[in-house]
Amino acid sequence: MRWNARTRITIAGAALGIVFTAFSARLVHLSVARHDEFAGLAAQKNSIRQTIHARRGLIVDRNGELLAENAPIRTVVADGSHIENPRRLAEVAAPYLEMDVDELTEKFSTERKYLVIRHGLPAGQAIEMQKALQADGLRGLYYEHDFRRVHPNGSMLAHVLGFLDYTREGVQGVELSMQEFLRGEDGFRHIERDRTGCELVVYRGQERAPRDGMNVHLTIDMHLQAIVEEELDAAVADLKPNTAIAILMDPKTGDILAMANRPAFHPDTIADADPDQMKNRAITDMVEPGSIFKIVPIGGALNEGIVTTETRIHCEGGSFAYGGKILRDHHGYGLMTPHEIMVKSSNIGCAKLALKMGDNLFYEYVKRFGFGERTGVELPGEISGMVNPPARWDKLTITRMPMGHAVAVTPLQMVMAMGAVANGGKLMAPHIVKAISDGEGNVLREFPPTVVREVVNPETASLLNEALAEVVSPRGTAILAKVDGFRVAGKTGTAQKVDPKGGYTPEKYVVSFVGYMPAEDPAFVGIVMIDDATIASNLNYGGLVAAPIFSRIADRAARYLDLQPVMRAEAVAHASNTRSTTP
Amino acid sequence: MNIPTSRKPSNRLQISKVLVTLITLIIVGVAAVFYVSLKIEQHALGEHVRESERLVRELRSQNQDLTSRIASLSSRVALRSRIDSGFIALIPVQNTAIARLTPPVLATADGVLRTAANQSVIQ
Repeated sequence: MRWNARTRITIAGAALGIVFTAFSARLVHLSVARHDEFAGLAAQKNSIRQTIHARRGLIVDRNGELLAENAPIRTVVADGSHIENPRRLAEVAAPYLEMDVDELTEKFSTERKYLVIRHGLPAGQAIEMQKALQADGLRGLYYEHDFRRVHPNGSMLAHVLGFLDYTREGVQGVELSMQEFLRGEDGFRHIERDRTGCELVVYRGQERAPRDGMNVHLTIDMHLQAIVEEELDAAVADLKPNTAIAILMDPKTGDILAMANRPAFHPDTIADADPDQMKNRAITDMVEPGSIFKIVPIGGALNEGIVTTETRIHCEGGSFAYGGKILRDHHGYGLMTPHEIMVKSSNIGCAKLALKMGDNLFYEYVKRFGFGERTGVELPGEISGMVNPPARWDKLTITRMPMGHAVAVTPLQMVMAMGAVANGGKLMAPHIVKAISDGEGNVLREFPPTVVREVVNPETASLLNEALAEVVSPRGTAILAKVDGFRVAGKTGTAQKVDPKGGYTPEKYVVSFVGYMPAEDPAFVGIVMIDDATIASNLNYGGLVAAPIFSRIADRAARYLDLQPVMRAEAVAHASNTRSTTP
Repeated sequence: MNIPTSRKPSNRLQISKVLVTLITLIIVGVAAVFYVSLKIEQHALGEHVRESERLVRELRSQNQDLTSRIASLSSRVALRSRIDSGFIALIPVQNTAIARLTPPVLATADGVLRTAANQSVIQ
């Protein structure tokens, strides 16, 4: 049978139509029905979600001095399949990597596609090496971006700043407490790569820019911090104590100006540090405060009107029997006013004042001064101390607690309590973070001064101030805390160390001095606390050990803060009057 | 009655259709070439973008690196070590060398701003 042309054309057309319809059907099946499957496969092979790292925020002091920042580093990796001349590559790279040429040649001779050559290479060095390799036409080395936290001042302020772990998360200090502000948020970008691994920019997908971490401004003044640390180092070298702590604070705002601990550590070399060195004892350790606590019964009794400035308390000649035990003073005293009780630091006088107040009222004042509760400073790990309620007191507690026994407080709580006296009776909340700002310097959040409560009224605070100023005089116990030209107010503390097995450890003392200056208008309040100084026990008193250190710190701080010496001012005024009368 | 002719019967060439087809093909061809060249240009620009981004990243890295090195070199610890090594020295200013200047005062009489002056020197 012979088909005519029309029939042949029809058959050929139909055949082609069927073939193309089959192809079309297959195409539709692949691209529509199995779209997700193949798109996933393609994405798996060529498309990746690239993380864009956010920059961690900086930490600066109140004057903008850098305290913690980021140094960019690179992890250098080799792709053996791209290396053509291992020896030459090693010769060029060795000086930058600070590694041996033979060792590098051996590593570069690998067939492995991913081999870490060196961690933590400074970015500048990596870029120089990259240029040198490009100039020689060498390839096979690649770089992974990372950063290292750097602390330019070394161990200075280390306990406050804290440090990061290997995942770049804050572990301690401000790095931990301000983590949410400092960390920022990584961004991402979906990219596609060609067969050589290079990004195809035209096929960039969804993208989110990283949000850099915010900068944290501390209340710390690094100049004062340096003074405190230098004096503390000198004291540690001289006295060889177990630990030493010093804090300076602005009593009017609660801003912590300096905070130092010994032993210390270097936050850039954490692996070498002992856990004991990393503790910020100013907020994590509690001690019996000793006589510093006497501001509580004297302040409370005066504030409540239980006694007046004229009331005389009989101090039993230095030996007071109460609750079947004898309470002693260093010297035998007779009748004394509250002012004299403070100046002479009479244990018996304070015990009698507390007895007049009664358990509940005295306990209320202990709490009002801020003891037994966290201060809320922006540092992690703060403890509340230990102040038992009257229900758990024994018969002796009311006579022991007023002299700073049977109670445990942190050094920061002591500073804050003394700060309340210096601030006209108002207890401030301590701050170590002043503000949070973005990269452009816009302040996003501030931490304003906060009054926690009025502990005592201004009149009582003034009476306490006068008494504390006389403590730092030849009549008081802390003459060595004096600073030429200024009136210093403060109180010494000497407490026997508590034995973990019970009772007290003989001849081991924690001595301290808490004071402020100038007494008329305090610019700062500070504490120096020395734990178990290597010194004869008859010399191991707050007035002999801690007070002179405070004096040196206060003297240098006064120069830095440009405080006008009262004596000099009087002399100048006198000289000026003399001159004005001179024709 | 059919008149026999010597010419073979054939389709008449429709010039207009050929022209339309040709022009369409040319337009499609040019568009395709243009599309391809645009794609190539786009890839080239993408490369430029990638290179520029790399340079910006490097510059930022170098900047951060240098900032960090400057901070380390000018830190208090570095300054202290240089003082200790004798590389630099701090000479305390003696009290006798400090002049306290009185703040400038507007004279009430003539309203003229007086320059700061050391009273002790004047007197």
